[in-house]
Amino acid sequence: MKRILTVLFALMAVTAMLFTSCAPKELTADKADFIMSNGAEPTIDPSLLNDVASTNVGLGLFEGLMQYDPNTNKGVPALAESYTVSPDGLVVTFKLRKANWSDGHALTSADFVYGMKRILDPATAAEYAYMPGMVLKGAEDFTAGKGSFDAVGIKALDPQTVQYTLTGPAPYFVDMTCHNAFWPLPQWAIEKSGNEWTKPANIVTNGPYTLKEWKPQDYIFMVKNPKYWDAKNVKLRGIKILASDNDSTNYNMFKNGEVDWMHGISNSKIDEIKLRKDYQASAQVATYYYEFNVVRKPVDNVLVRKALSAAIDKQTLVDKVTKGGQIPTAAMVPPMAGYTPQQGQAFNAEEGKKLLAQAGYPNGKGFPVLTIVYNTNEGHKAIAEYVQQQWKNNLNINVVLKNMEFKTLIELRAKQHDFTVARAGWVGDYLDPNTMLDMFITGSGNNDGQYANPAYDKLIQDARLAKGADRMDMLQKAEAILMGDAVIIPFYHYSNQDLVDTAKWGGWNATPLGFHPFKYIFKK
Amino acid sequence: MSPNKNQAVNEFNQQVKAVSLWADAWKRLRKNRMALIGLWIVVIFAVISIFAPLLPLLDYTGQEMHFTNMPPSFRTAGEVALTQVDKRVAQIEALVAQGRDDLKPELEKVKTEYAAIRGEVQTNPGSKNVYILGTDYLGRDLLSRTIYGGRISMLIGLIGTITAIIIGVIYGAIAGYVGGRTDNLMMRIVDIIYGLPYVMIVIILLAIFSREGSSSIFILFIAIAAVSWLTEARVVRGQIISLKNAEFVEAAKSMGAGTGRIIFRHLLPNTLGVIIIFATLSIPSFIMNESFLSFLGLGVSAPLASWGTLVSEGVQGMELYPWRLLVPATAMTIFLFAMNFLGDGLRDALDPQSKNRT
Repeated sequence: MKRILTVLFALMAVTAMLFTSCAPKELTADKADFIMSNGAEPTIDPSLLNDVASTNVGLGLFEGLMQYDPNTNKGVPALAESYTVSPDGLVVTFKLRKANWSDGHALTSADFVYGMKRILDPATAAEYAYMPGMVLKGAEDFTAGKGSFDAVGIKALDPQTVQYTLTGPAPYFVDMTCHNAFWPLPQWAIEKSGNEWTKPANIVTNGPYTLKEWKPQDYIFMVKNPKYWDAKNVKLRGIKILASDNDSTNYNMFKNGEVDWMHGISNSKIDEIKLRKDYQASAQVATYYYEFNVVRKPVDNVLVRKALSAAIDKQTLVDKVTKGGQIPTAAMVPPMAGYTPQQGQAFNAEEGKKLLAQAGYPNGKGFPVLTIVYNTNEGHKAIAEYVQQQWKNNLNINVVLKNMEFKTLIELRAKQHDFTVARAGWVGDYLDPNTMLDMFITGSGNNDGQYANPAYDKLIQDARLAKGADRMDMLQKAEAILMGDAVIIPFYHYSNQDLVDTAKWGGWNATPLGFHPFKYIFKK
Repeated sequence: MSPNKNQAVNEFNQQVKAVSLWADAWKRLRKNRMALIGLWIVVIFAVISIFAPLLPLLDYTGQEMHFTNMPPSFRTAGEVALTQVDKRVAQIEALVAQGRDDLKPELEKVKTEYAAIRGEVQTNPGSKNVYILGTDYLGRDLLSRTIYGGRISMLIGLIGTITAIIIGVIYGAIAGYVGGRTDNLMMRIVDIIYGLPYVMIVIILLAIFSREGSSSIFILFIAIAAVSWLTEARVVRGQIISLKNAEFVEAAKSMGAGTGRIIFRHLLPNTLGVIIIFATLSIPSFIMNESFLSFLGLGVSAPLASWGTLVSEGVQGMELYPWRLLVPATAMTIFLFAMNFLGDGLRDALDPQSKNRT
């Protein structure tokens, strides 16, 4: 009897196995091939996303005319089969390849026009509207509510051709189309579901992946998009992206092998993480800086700003506080091909004292108590405390620190301009010095410190119309003015810091902008 | 020998010394060993905090960037730093020997750092410092930070308790004694304030009162004081209601005493025991509240520290630098335990219905 039972059980087990292997495999989040720890809850809507964590997700779901190359982050053709630039550099025409959306709709040039209209529309209130606004003819006026969309320099010549008319021969324009501000959008899906269109049930995507599951504040699960034009070259079938912002938990998960790629690293564990084989660090086109509200006392005085800049030892800051391979700097623009960054006030405590005395505050006497505002984060806190002590020791002035949530800080900085000294960081959107400089023109949406200098504006405007070495020269002159006015105190150029085992995963490389499209990642 | 008329006599007609409530309570408290230990610890903590500026401590805001994250040690900072860097060099060299060529630049960097610290030891007077309890991520002495942090934490506990007593006692006594519609109205106000979420009140107060250049610590005091008196008011009101129909109140009334005199001269002294117990037990809760707010980043801001901010900073690196968490957390735990034992002991000592009464 016992034997019969054993045989029966064995038979049952075998049939069960047969059945499961015959049934079509439904990929679920716990069976993802690749798990990424993103460090923040992402925004999915391409018109609204404006941070690195959201871009990481967006690069999996959507695709523009060009795509960031996984090695260099320069643009490589994606939805564009080819493109031509007119001799004067003002008209760029893209020929689209045959591609479909994830719901089967054909992807046409009209989708690009709709995407552009949506991000520029003042009703969308997209923070990145200024980016196409800068380069596309008529776009700035449309966003400001002064012109119609017909005047904007984007035309669908035929379903497979889209043409952009620029304000100047911006040589970085083609690379710029990698950015989410230029992605096509599915008009029918957005109009049908409104704000709910990014929910997994409603979303229509055109990238290598589609959104299968989204548990807010927990994870996002993406599966390979079979309708994607290059689907045969997409290797990973399912990707799970975790939203947890707890660095300790994320790092422990990575150590246990529960996470394959961890983005962003906390500096309290950097001494240990640095020695790991899978620690990846590389210079990034990004700058960490403090900005002054230049219309407020006492920092409306350029001597005070220079004194404050001169009193911070950035080398020690980078070596002892941040410790992650950052490059100390006194310039806004990181070193780039053909461009020499213009250094501002260097560290010199004695000079700082002299400058402060010239400004009317000998040995810090009579200087009001400054407040530094920063967004709540242990790293920013350590830097703020360091700066506080540096100013106390070198200039004998008192500073109080105030921390707030990131979104509140942005509101305070960009909308209300209600600060004196604020922490800021800027990551380049494309590989050109312009990406670090054009936000300081008078009235720009990202000119938080209300800096206004016609000479600076003119150089930046002229640089749009110039080419080659001339253009670089103008940008260098502009940066020299910016740093001469000590509008900001640059601390360091960021380094990209990730944890990923490149012996196991291919297609992941340290890149200057820090973008790593999932499309190219594969298991070795 | 007839007993003196003024002296108390027991059932065996022996003379006994009259014992006041306080002497009696003190006698009973002394018998409670845990409470006594608690009392001594609280006294020691209080003395250290009051006289902290006179103690030979290092500056609690001073940053020594060459001596960050130093473990507790009785040796000088220079020596400890050299051993630490030595260890790190050995660790990296071992990894490089295993074929980790990518770490070579890091090794160079650490070796340069080693040389730099050598130089520091010669020139920087800071290298002679002894960090008994180690340093934090900016090279600040944890011992003095813990002591100065304790000052702030205890100050917050005291301020909270004092405002709680002043406002709570007056408010509760009036509501309890007057009674009727006034009582109803006053207690409903308390209920409403009770109903508001604490953290939200603090955030709103911080938003309203914070000005350019002002430190958030005063707002924190206001925020803690603003909601501290509610429980006290309820407790006192209950006591007053139970006492207000007692004979001694009737007697006072018949002698023509006014409401104020009855409340403050007759009723409140009889509730003092409860108030004292409440005060000792609420100091720890204010300290915990402040730690909680500091943990959320709403509390004391740098360069000041409190136990709460020190613990929340320590948590960040607890795997690599456990002392950064353990030092302030231990100090805080010991104080809170002591305060709670003392409060318990006082309750037993002052409670007239206590079973341990002798």
